Amino acid sequence: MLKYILKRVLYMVLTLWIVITITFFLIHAIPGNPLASLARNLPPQVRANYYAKYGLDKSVPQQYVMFLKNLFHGDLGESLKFPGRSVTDIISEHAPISARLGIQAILIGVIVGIVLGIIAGFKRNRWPDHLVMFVAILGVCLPSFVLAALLQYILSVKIELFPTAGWGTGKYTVLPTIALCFGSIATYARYMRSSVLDVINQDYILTAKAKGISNFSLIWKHVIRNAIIPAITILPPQIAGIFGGSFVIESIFAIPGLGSNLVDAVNNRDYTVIMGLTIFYCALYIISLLVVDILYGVVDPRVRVSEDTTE
Amino acid sequence: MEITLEGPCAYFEKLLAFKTMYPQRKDLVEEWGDKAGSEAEYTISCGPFKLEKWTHKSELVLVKNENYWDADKVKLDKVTYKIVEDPNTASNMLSNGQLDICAVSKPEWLEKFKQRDDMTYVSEFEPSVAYQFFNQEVELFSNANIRKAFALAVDKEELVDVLYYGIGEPAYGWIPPVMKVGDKTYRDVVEEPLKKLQEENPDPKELLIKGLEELGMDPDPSKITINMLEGGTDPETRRFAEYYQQAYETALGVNIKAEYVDWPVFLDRVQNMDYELAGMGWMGDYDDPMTFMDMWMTGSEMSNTGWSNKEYDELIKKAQESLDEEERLECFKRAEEILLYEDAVIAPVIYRKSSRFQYNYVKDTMKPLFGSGIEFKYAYTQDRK
Repeated sequence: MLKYILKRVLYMVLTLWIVITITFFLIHAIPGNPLASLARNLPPQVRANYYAKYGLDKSVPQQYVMFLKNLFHGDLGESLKFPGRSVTDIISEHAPISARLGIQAILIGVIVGIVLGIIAGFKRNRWPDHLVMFVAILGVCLPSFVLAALLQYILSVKIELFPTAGWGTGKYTVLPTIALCFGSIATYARYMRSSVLDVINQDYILTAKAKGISNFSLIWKHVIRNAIIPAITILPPQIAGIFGGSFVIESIFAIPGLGSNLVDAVNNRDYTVIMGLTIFYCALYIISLLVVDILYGVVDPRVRVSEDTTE
Repeated sequence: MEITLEGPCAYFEKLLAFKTMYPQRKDLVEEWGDKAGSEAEYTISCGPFKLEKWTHKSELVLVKNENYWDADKVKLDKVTYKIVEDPNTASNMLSNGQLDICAVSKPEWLEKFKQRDDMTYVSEFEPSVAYQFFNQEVELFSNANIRKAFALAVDKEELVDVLYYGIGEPAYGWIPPVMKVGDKTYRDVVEEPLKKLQEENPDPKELLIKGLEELGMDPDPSKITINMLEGGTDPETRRFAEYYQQAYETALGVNIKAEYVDWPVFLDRVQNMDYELAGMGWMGDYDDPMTFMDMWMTGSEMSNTGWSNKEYDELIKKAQESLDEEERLECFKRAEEILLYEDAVIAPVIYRKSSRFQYNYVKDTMKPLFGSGIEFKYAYTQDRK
């Protein structure tokens, strides 16, 4: 198992390096440069110094080597658009905000979605099933920003239950969390329902029932463990999305998360911030893939890595 | 402190209010380096308020500065700025009282708020002009008559209503109505040059055809296609570009192709003269026409059009050095005439205005022409529920 993880980590580093390289050259290939508006009116000599300070006077391959060197020392650099603000600061200030919202949304989304899916599966073709599937279709079809605007208008402007926008105490997170988790509730409910239907027709369920096992144990020990695998598969992109946040939701609710930072950085050609955030997202995604692979093993003994297959 | 000037400068006192002239603490700026001004803890203030907390992309909290020289007059203890990117969210927040003051420019919200009697609408001139400009290295735009035709092609009255929802005034001059020379308001004494141009040339298409003939080109406008560069890719930029496109095509019979690029690319291309026709805005820095005029001198590189005019350069130089306000006014007047009436280097479109709503319980806010937004020094709230 340890060997397997180690191998995976090595692959991860390789993937990360490839992503960094591709992003770096692509970003420098789009026209426009980050200092254009700042250095516009400076005398030529001052402008040259300014460019030199950030290494922008060098060729792109030279900049690439410089960037990798700094990265190796754990230095992601400083924003070009907002001098004095380091990329690590931006991540450590804004990522926890996106993370809090994302974790809340994903927990509610996964738990509610799975429970609804199981109910729908067991009550197949009866009214609870129809209700859950109706909600699920709504959840898949309704874009989160429409729901967000709707929630904001009803629960904040008309009935003044929650603050309209901003960030602070827990009540600020209620509306964006609902807007964010509605889609995942729908997705998980649908996944869970179909795999529950698969599982409950298996022979071992019949055997378990015949042994007189309680309904709770049947669902907990036999159904969920077998039915949850497809649902776990769709988890990693969602985990990466947690920290990325949803740009649209963040913008509607004026939440200082990471999403809007990335969009601004791209618009401003703020190279260092774009690179730093890309690395952060990419690392998160790869790590969550690994975590999920390990989770498979925990949930389902059949996919555990045995010593001899890794040899 | 003592400042020694290299030469006479009639507008020096006005220049002092420009942001780059704000005082700094030398020791702290040196200690903090690039960090200065990047966080609340690296920001100091000698004004009525000081920055206590800055949550990036969320809010700024200002508290009363007890060391301010005029602190007795400051009534508010705290001012909070909310950073909200989505204009609908901001308007929602204003509408249910989570904000006291909010800038509003969307027509549906303007309508809605104007009907409320617990709010006041405030719209004031800004020292700012939106304008179109031409690359004179492109053969077509090397001709003054053709540039004049484009300057007259757009119906500014209609444009202000359609594009800006009535926020702003049609611009027939380059110096906005609020700028002063000494104590005199420039626009009160100098007529707008484009008005004269328009009276003399009721049909801009005739000017265009005349220009084409002067250049020895085919006088059929429908055979001309012009690339219009736009500094944005969002729907709002598209809305603006499509309006201009249609206005030019209808009035002049030419074909306009709009090209949308991000702002940094736009600046790069304008700087490198890699455009044909483009538009942007200019905001003055201090209360003297000089802040609008010296940017068109030869070699200023503020906005590259390829234009250079000796008489213009000399006039502006004279206005820079003269201490006689009458003489300076005459210089600006003549220079503006060259810039717009004779050479049509640029085509001003609107004098911009601010637009905000505030609840009636908010009193005594000010918006200085050259400052950082709304001034709260004397502001207070009364009978707030």
